[in-house]
Amino acid sequence: MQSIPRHCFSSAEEIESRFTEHRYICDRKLATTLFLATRLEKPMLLEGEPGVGKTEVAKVLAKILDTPLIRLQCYEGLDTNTALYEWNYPRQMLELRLQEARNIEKNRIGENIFSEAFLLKRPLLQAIQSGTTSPPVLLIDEVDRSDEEFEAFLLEVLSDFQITIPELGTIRANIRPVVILTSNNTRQLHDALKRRCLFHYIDYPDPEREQRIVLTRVPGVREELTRQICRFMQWIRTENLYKRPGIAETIDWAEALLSLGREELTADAVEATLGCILKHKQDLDQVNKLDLPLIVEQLEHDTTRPHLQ
Amino acid sequence: MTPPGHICSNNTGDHHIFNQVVEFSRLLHNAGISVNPAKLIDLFRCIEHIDISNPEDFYTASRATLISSHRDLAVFDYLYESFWYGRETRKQTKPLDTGADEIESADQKNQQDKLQQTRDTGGSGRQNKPEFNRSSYSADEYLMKKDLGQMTPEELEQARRLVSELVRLIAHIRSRRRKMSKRGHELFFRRMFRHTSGYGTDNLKMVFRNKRKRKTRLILLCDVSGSMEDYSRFLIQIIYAMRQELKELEVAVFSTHMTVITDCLSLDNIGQSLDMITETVHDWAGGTNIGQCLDEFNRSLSREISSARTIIVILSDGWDRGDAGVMAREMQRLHDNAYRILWLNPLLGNDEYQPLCQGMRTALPWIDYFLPAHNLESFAGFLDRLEKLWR
Repeated sequence: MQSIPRHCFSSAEEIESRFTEHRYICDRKLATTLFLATRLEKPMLLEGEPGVGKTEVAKVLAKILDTPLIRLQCYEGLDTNTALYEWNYPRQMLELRLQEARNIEKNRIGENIFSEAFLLKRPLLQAIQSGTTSPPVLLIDEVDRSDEEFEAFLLEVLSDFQITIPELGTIRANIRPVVILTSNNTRQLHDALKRRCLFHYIDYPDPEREQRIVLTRVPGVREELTRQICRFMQWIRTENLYKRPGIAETIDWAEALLSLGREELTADAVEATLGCILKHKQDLDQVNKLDLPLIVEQLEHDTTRPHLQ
Repeated sequence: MTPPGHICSNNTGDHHIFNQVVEFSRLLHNAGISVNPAKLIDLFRCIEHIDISNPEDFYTASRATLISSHRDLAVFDYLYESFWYGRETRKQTKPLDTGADEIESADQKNQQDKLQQTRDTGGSGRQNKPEFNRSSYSADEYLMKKDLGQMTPEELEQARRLVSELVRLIAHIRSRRRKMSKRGHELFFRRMFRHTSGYGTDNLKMVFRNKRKRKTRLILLCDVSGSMEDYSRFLIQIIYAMRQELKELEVAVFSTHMTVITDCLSLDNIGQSLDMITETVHDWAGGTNIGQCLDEFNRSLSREISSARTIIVILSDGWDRGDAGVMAREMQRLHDNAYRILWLNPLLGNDEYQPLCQGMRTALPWIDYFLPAHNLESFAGFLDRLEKLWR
């Protein structure tokens, strides 16, 4: 088996700068972990609250490496037919019909229908087969949503990067894909699976980094507005909310404010667009109950965290 | 202790780092973060690729390899700081021995933080938010550990929601998996083609697949006698939540008689359900005669609602005023007919509890699992056990 080409990345700094080129501001820790994952050829397990950019890491990585991104979205009851391969039944049926029409010998009918031509490749098989010159990026999204049976199966695939199809035989990866697993912590993953991965936790960004992210992702947004937005976001995450907004929400919000032509963050602007960052009614009600003009005012003047009653 | 960068500049060699890392991993191990040799090997492989004199990179590599859940992050960070930089610790000469103390102090610190924050936010337990993003985890944890008998109505409402979630997990995950069968709605193409492709398309034999059906039945018998009153008022709500998610669950309550209340619990509205139970059950908070009730169950009800593979869950404190001989006989009959018997006892939550009362002593030999049921955590444990048994 070939390893990931060594020139993939030469250092964590390179990853940091290449990600920045692709408009993903990643911190040093993420870059280092990613670098180590490519060097050690181990999958990387990304944990973090929703909307902090876990999935984006894989997307950007695929762009940088200029390889296909193969995504497997996990859910309860996900089985091998959906994740690995499935036979193309209508085509098999048609083939049988054609063979009958062609008067092929009875005992030879259906001989070929379990061959690669009738195989539908699902993400895991694709990932194993598609690497020819550079490793594909395999994103196994929200792995915590799948069930234990699937986890056990995944374990097998991730340790050997080979898949056995009873009708065809064993298929091995030419190049090990770069594997990124994401988890929202809805449940604990099995130890054996976690042990195979390098772990990284993506936290909410600090204000400076969040500002850089918004400035990079939302072209045309003013620096002053960005500063106000980020300060507001930092504050709102300290509130006791059902679902705290992530960076994805910050970007959405900045885009919304920009398209509304707002130059600065005022209380009525916040009120009008609060739906961009809070997605639950109870959270909206909770924040609406607060004195928004006062909060915006205080956030403007107080450089540290606002002290609100 | 010095950070690893200094070790390198001191030229004390790799061996020294090796020992220190191993020592550090032991510290983590004592703190409940299991570090196996494979993880250590990964860390050493990482060290080859990073600039070890950069403290941040060394930290990242350690974190990426040694822990695998954000729940361990806070403890890891604390121990990392104290081990490599000697911060916030007393003495570092024997890290192995001080391991336990460290955790204690980490916990204390944590507790103090929590207390501080609780005070800051006006004393409401819901509000406390430790510095490391654990979202609502701590609030849940608090709720999980709270005694059921002492819950406020709001907490009970929350508890019911939590139980629903837990039960939904064991109810649905399994049911999404399919199994081959002779009849059904969904064709199992793969099997059809495998079996019959040799005979051409005219002879395709239909093979179906269906949701896997559980053969095991589940019966919950809840003690609602006077001694259980503190708990049974709340337990009935938890049981309602369970019944809403598990359509196969049969529920009966007993004190001096056994009454099946499955139908009462099937109503959509919990208020109506409780009203109906009040009308149906006449011996609520009455005396206890477990033997007699089990006799009723074994004689009539068990034939109606149980089958060969039945898991029976009894929720009771075991205080019994009936005849011990009858109870022993009925427990044995129950045991012979059931697949497994689980006994949930709210008193078992108390560390000093000993099953000394006569009823409990009589029942013990016939019980497969004796579990606590005083708070949500113990309930989660019970559901976990149930999931393993319930195939």
